[in-house]
Amino acid sequence: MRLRVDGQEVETKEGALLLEVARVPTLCHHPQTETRGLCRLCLVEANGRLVPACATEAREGLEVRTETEELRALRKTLLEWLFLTTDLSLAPELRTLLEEYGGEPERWGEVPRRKGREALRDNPFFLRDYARCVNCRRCVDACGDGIMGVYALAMEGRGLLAHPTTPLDRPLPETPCVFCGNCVQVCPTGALRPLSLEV
Amino acid sequence: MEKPSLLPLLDARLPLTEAKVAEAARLAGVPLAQAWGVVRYYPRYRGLPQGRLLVDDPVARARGFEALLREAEGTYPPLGLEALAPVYLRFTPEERYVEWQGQLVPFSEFRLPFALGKGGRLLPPEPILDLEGYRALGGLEALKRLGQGLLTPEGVVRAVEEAGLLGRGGAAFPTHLKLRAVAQGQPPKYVVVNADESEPGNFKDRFLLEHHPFLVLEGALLAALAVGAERVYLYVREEFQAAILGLEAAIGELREAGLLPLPVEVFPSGGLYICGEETALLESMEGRRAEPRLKPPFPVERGLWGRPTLVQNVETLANLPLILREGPAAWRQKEPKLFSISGDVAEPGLYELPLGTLLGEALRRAGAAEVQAVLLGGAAGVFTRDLAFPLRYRERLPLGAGALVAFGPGVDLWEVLEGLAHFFREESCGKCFPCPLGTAVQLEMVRRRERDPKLLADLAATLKGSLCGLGQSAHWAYQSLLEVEGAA
Amino acid sequence: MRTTCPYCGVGCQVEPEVRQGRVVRVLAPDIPPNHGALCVKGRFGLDFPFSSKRLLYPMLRERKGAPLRRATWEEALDFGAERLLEVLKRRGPEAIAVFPSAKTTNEEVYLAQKLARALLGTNHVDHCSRLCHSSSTAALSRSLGGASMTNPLEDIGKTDLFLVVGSNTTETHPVIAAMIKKRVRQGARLIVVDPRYTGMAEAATLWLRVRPGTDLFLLNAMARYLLEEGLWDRAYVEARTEGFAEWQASLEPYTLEAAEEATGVPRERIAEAARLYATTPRAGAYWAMGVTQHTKGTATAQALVNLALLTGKVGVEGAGLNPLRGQNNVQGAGDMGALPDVLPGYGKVAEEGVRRHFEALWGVPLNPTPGLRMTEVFEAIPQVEAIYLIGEDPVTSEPYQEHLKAKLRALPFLIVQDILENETTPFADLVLPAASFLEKDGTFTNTDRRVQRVRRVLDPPGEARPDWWITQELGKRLAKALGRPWREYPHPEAIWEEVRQALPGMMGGITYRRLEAEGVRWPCPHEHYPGEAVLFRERFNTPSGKARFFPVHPTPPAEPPSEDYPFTLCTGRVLFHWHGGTLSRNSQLNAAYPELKVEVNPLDAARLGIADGEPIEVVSRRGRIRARAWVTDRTPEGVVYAPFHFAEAPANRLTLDALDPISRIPEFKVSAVRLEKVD
Repeated sequence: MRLRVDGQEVETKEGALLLEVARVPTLCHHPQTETRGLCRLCLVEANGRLVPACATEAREGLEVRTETEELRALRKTLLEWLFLTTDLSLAPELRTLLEEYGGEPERWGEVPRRKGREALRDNPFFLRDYARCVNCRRCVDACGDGIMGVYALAMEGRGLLAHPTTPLDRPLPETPCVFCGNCVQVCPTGALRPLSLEV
Repeated sequence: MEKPSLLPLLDARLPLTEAKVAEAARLAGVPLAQAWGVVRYYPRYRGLPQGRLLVDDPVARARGFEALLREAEGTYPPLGLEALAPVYLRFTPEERYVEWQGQLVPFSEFRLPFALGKGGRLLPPEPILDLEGYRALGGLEALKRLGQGLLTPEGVVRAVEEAGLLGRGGAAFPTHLKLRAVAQGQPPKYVVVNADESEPGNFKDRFLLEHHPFLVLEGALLAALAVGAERVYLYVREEFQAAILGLEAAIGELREAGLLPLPVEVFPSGGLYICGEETALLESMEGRRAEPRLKPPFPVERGLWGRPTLVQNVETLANLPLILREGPAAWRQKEPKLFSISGDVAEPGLYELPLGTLLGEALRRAGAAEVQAVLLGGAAGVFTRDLAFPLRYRERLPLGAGALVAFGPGVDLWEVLEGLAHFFREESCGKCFPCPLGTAVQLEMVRRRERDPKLLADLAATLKGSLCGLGQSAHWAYQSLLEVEGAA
Repeated sequence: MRTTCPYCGVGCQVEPEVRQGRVVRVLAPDIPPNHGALCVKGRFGLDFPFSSKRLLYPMLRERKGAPLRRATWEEALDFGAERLLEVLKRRGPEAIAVFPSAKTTNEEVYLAQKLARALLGTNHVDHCSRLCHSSSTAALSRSLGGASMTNPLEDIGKTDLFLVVGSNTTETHPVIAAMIKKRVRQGARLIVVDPRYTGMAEAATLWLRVRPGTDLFLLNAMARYLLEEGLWDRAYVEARTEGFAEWQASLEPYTLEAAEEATGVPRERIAEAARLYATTPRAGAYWAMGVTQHTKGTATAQALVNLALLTGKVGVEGAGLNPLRGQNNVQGAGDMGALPDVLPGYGKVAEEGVRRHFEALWGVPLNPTPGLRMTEVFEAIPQVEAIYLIGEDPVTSEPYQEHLKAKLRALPFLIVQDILENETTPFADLVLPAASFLEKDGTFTNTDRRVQRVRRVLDPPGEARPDWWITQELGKRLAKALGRPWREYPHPEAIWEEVRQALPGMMGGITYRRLEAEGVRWPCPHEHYPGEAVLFRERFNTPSGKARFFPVHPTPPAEPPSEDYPFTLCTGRVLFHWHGGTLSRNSQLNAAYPELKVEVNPLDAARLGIADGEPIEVVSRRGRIRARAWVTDRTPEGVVYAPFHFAEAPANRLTLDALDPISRIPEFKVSAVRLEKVD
């Protein structure tokens, strides 16, 4: 099947995601989890409509634009807001991306922050440091439907201050957690990280 | 695969303890993590504010908000009381009350005054107290004809198509397309009446539910038969306790009269603005956090429990009996639309006006004197001064669900906007990235009266990329206020 | 750098990140078999190579009673060779046994058994599979002519019904459990047969809580019911099996009524399980130690094989017979010939043609008499005078510990080659420090026959050396003295090349170059062949090409509960630990599960006045251990469950050495104990 991406004709297979043909940044998407369409960094314009490339299948004749002025503004702004609110010092690729888009987080002034939350150290293996959490939910999905089916992680709250937690907010050893660390593996920002990295 | 829904199981166990949450999860057959995510999401499980609360709606914001707030211990989101605003509530652990005319009226007894309704076709001319009252108005005729085979399901869909009815919830999607899509789906199928009216400034659905339940039920049953659904759920805003009781009574009467061709039940909403978003609504019915799904697939293909589902607004369905009674052509000639008019007008209320009525005319009907600006549509709406604007769908400005809040000369519109910005930040579910970040940033910008066009343009471009309508429209009012200011 | 996890048989691909000589993080690449997923052991338990218990230099004991003293490699290897040669000369090859390790690489196992057979001339070669799946391999081999999972792990995604018998998969093969549970979330059904309420039972659509050791009765009753109802695959049975009539006749006593009586499972549930299994075309059977570690282990595995043949489930995608293998390279250890009766590739030592092939390859005549099995070798001490033990801790893993210790004390010469000090090292006369999986190259073969690379990420600490190097050096000395040929290999790849030459049909197409991308499954005869996924699609690997039914009947446990010992002790594993605990208890994992907990049913606990968390003693006719009581209804009334990872409280001090008559596996799952409160 053929479609056009930024004016270039592209050939791809039936059922391919736009992500496979469009070079766009992603954050919530992960091949092993079912999280999709949350971060909106991979939005593209497909026949004039904004769609997430990670959750949209290619169609014959589709006209895809990946870098319109609006999309650049969106990505730049989103990255600025993420850096403004969240401690992303362990996510160097996001820093690079922010620089690529010429982001200046300070231009937005003061906003409520996730930074400053205390890291939770409740098990022998890894930290839960939600000051670094962007709410991509990969961990929740890896623990539940996506990989393990263990369901030791849930989402707490709403809006900006929502973040993953455990059932009944219990320390992890008191939950169904099996410490497989698949949540740690899929975490893109170091919010979940092995204690062995802490030395 | 239908499972017992978690929310009613939790509701039956209020006030919650950890053991009760675990029990509800077990009975619902869901992991404790899911139940905990739900408990930490919906206000009534997290814990409601207590004491005297000011309803923080655009009208209250226009009436010296700070002074009003000093009389309260907290605020509560808009509740369809704009025509009566400013209004205080009182919450105790046992009961929730509206302060009304010097009395504390429990939610279970409080209805919008009947006199607020002004219209002929959708609104009852006099209070309808029972099934007989509804019959006396010519109700249930269409349902009867359908039952007798004088009208076919396809006939219903065709009539709706000929009438050209557009969804009244705000998105103005052609109703017949949804009906047809669900009709073509494989059973089991469902109809869900979206009665989670939470858009600031709107109280039309609340009024219909409280005063015209049989009309809504007949509309829902007609739609259900038209699409071949096996069950109807009325997803009613949980705070509308009187409406819920009234609907349950009405359903009981219909059942006893042998007039219920399929099961109908009320599902109290999650109690958040986002619950009105149709896929978030379905998530909450399935016992999860009311967070919007990615679309496609749309509910008409994969809705409740993954089955084809027709989700329709209350007012949309209320039009079905009317279309079938009057005939599509007659109905269409003067297409009725309900407008919730509040703010600085002499007679705030619910006005049934033909689509296309000019904004100025609508305000005149409500007795407006001098108007500085109108908030059209609600929080997901725009400020305008264009009194010549025809109140129609697919025009320059969004009609939304038909809320008009008028502001007189002295009102600080930024204060109103701050109320809306605060509302969005509080109601953002937090699932996608632009909305929770953008609504938080936006509130800070509005608080400091930020007018930088570049920042606003970037805010708009980013919010536009949100997952659902809530975030996508969160900046409309802000942008429109700057336009209104610029034009002044 | 990518390598293969050293814990269980799933063979997860891991990428340990090493900083300053330490593993600081483990990631998993998105390739088979685990596709990015890991369990706690692979994720957080790969730090055992940095344990303070690492053996860092060779040690030898000049004579019994003398202390172990440090030695140079030269000295140690000479000493080992001399002592082995001395036994060989005096007592002949029958007095020497070599136990290659299922934790070492294929190359190392191949070399160790080659040393035993080509240099020492002994067939007393065996490995720890004797203690885990020997019952399965016995049943599968005689019925189907092959001893492995018949279907690949990818088939889990295509399976519509799982019949899981005696496998605590969520704890012992967590990544496979996650795959199965995910498939169940997508709508597949899961039937679990287990006395304990395991994580699998929790996820099951149908859980059959059998009394311990009654699975065989249940499986026979399922078969009888299906025959009665006509729910069996007549065409398959006629075309592809033999021995049916005799077997069918043997099922007469196994009515549903009798099964209910024997197993405690209501007859309707047995019938439902049978019906679901038979009528779902893609129904796969999975099992582990709950089936095999009984004196009727082979019979129970056979009953499963019979049931699968009756319903036509073998050689079918998404179905099959799938024993979940325990050790990282237990499949490979068998493939490489670490068994007393077969050479690499499962050819029988007793068959002349098989021997001739290897005699030509190795340039020596081979001993045609099958050797003793591991459990029998220990019994044969002191007729057996020397054991070369690689990567194994029998003091912790064998049953009836006191008896075994006495045997080891009576053994004239014991070589222990390991990476860590363990409970058996004190009995050694020669200790050879080996390199861990992180410190060497080679291959492991996982539970679904996938040969995968092990890569050197670090240098071995101290003077530790890779097992293949040690075996090779020892062999060099033996060969020289015996005047026999002995090849020297510059690198494990050269050993693998010899394996390919030895087993062209099985491994011929698998090269190190191919393994760079991902593992390849055997049989794989050509370099362009993808590797066989589903075995026995067309024919079975038996002389007739047909699978054979074998009648099997339950026997009572060797030691049923009695008045003095009223509880049935069932031993097993927990998520955080691994077998004898040598690896996991020397890793971060120990922090999560530091001491022995014994599961006691609440009703029993109430009767005995035992509170949750209370210290108790578990006592059998052979010894006593102290543990903490975990009062939980995971374990049924009358049963106590004890993991065997804890050297300071070894469950195998309690178990008995009753063996299955065919596989010679000990009855780890049933011994009689009592519980005592500790004051």
